[in-house]
Amino acid sequence: MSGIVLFPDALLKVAIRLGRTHVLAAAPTRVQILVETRPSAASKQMTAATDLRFVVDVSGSMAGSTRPGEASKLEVVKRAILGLLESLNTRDHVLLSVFSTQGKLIVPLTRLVNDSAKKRIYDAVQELQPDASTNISAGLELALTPAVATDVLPRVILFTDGQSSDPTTDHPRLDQLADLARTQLIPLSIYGTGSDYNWSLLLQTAARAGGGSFLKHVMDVQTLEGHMIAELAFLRGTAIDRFQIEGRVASADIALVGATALMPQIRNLELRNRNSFIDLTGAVDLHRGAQYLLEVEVPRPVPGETELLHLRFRGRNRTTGQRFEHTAHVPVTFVSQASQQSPVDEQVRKVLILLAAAKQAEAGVYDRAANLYRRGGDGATATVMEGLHAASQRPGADAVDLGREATTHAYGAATEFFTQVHKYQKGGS
Amino acid sequence: MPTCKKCSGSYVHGQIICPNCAEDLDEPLALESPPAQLLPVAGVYEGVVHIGRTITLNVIEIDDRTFPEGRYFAIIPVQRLQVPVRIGRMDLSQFPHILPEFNLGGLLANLQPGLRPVVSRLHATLQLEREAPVVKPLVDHSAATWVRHTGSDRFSPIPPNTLRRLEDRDCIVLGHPKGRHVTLRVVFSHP
Repeated sequence: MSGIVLFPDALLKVAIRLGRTHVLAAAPTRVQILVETRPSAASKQMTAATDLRFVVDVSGSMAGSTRPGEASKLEVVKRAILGLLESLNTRDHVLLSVFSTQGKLIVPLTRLVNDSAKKRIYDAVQELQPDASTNISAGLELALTPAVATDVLPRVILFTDGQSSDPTTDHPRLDQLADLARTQLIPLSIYGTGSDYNWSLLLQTAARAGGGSFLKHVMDVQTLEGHMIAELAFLRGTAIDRFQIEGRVASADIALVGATALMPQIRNLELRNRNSFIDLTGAVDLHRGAQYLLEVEVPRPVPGETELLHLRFRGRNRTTGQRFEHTAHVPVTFVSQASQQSPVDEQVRKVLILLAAAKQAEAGVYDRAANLYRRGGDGATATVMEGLHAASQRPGADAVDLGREATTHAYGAATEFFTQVHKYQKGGS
Repeated sequence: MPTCKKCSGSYVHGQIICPNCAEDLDEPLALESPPAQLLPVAGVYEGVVHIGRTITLNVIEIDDRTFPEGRYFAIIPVQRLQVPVRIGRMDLSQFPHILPEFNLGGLLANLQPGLRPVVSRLHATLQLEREAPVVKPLVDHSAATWVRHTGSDRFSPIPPNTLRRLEDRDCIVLGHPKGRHVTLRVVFSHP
């Protein structure tokens, strides 16, 4: 089985690729399954309106820069927000809150109906000044308070460089707010900068909020602005929401040994008793879709066709509200001779190389990561890794800053990779 | 388990790239791994279920060649070490014959034909000392047997005829770690 599965109501297109469709039966044997889902052509709608809620850290440390002689971190954030504002249109909504010792709502949720509304936000952003300590939850709470209208796509965009000044109250409150974001279906885009912020806390907050939330480390205004604009494009292309995928092995002796979501960041999914997983992906856009790499182990395969997995997809057409639920069964054919094996699916191989490259990047072995990205056909990320390798060799290099840049770039590189693949596939068809 | 041609790391059949070095594994040769070879030890009978703890001696390096655990190995019940097990190389050319209980001569002759064997005919013994497995060099110069304790990257030489206690996953080096050598990894079974 390797191809497109189009379900009866044609809202969702699913491609299931096996590492090999015919696999040598050895005890035990692993089989890789790449699941790619995209909204079908029938789901395509006009560009959705967005509801962007900016939450900006204006604590004292934001007055500093990430590198000597460069603009302050707050200036970098301000320029990036102003750049993004240019890309918004009259159907979009914007909110701006800040936090230092306290949270403050600078601009309540406002529709950009005309130029004066946009200018008011523009001026408010320009006037932001660094202040005192850091209370992240106070700013986030203000952004999550207004209800979400039914016809817009919401997203909170949070910028920070620091640790909570009072972790005993701020950290548990952040957990509660992440849960609130999850229930209100407002994903969080968290951007960290510098090497002082609480990386693991924010990563956990993004994971807990779910629905496509992510943490991205940024070192300069170009990276930040470029990433935000790309995310806006993906957000506008959202065709399916409340999307979730569930997988379960087809028989008790088969073990699920790996499940990785590739969008919008690479992340390992929790396996339940080595036989099932579930992931609430949230929004699925037309550009990237949603991809998963699964791996199962069959302890004693017998030549012939064997069912490996049952997959269930649920979601809702964002515009019409029509819900869907589909199931797919994934079989593989075991063969008794190595010569009867089918060739390896090149797309699966590329994903595996990409994951190996991400591991190297996370471990700080940038030159090796660059080689793997190049081998996997992702020249753009390979170039970034080569740059990081060169930077890491310079005296006084900030290893923490570089490591965070590399990790979020590597684990978000799948976004770029699949966008390119889909562009290529569209061009070829 | 099959092993990667590039890094000798083990993988599971069906995997497409090596989990250790990301090398492609789909060439037909990569699927064919040599069978595991259980090395005999005098007084230990193959096919007998061992009661109590055992020690597995894995040959993991011979000079610059590395081998995964489980490729060339011997399993010795800890109780067997109440009588020392000599590690060395069988030599029938002399009388009396030299017959170490754990003979590496055949393996070295197979893997390094024509090369002078690095292991002495009677190189070291494994035995029990106060119920704990120890290694004792038999060669009478001080840099012929080394140990690297698990978790450390430092090799330390063992003076001749002194005992060195072994812990799970320690490595015994017969020869010199930076020169010609055979490395054995000691793996204890769990009680």
